[in-house]
Amino acid sequence: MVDFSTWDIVRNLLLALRWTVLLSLLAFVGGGLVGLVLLVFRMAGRRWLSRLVAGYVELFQGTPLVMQLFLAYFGLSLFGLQLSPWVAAGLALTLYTSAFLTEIWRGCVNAVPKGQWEASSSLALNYIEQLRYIILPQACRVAIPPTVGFLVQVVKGTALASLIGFVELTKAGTMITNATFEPFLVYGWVALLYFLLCYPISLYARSLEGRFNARG
Amino acid sequence: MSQIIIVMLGSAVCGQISTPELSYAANLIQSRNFRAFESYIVVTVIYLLLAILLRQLLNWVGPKFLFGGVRG
Repeated sequence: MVDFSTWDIVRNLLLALRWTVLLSLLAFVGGGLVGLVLLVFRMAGRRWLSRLVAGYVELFQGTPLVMQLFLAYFGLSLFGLQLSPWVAAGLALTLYTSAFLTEIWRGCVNAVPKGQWEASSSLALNYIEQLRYIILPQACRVAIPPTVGFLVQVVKGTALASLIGFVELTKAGTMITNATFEPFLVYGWVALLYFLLCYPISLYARSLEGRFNARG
Repeated sequence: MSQIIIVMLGSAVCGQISTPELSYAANLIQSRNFRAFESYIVVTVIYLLLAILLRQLLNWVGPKFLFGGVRG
């Protein structure tokens, strides 16, 4: 039986924290890219295309993240793909994030007055140019605060990746608890570390919100 | 209002501390017969239907009973 001092616990949790951060960043960046593509599809004005994206969003917003993770992990291995927890968790979180981000950004694009679309099309810009030069720069200002706020949700969502055997903060907490039999102490630290990670992000989101409100 | 749906979906996590609910049942079934994909996909579809139904219900109930000020 190995004795764990408090520092041992905290040190191991801190080591695991980097995987939480890395997975969050992976999900956020990947989800952002996929979400942007979906947004372009959604706003393109083809009815079946936007229906398809709406269905995708409905699918991922209407099912629990836990189930998506399980399906990615167990479901894809059914088709002969041996996925590591890394790939399965990254994939599921990316798709989940993209569904939410595309919906958030759609609201922001809709917030741009319709006259901007009409004015830019009267300048003979095509759809991609309209988005790139006229609409997105304006939508971005509205979009940044809620996007940063959603990052907090992604960070907390990575906790569920522990259920498919991905060793991040929560899983490390479980493993240490199994060795020390002090669940309250260990999970207290885990919760504290999540808080220290998320609180600055939500503060930042709030300050961004204030700044954009003051200017806009 | 959509927060209600988010809480409903969040309750799926409770299965992990063996609260006997839907996702716990899924885990139980797949540990009995090792058909993980089938049990999880069925449960996911049930959650999806629940979410859609709940939203329809809230969209109907909300304007009518909660904040429908105009008609009184």
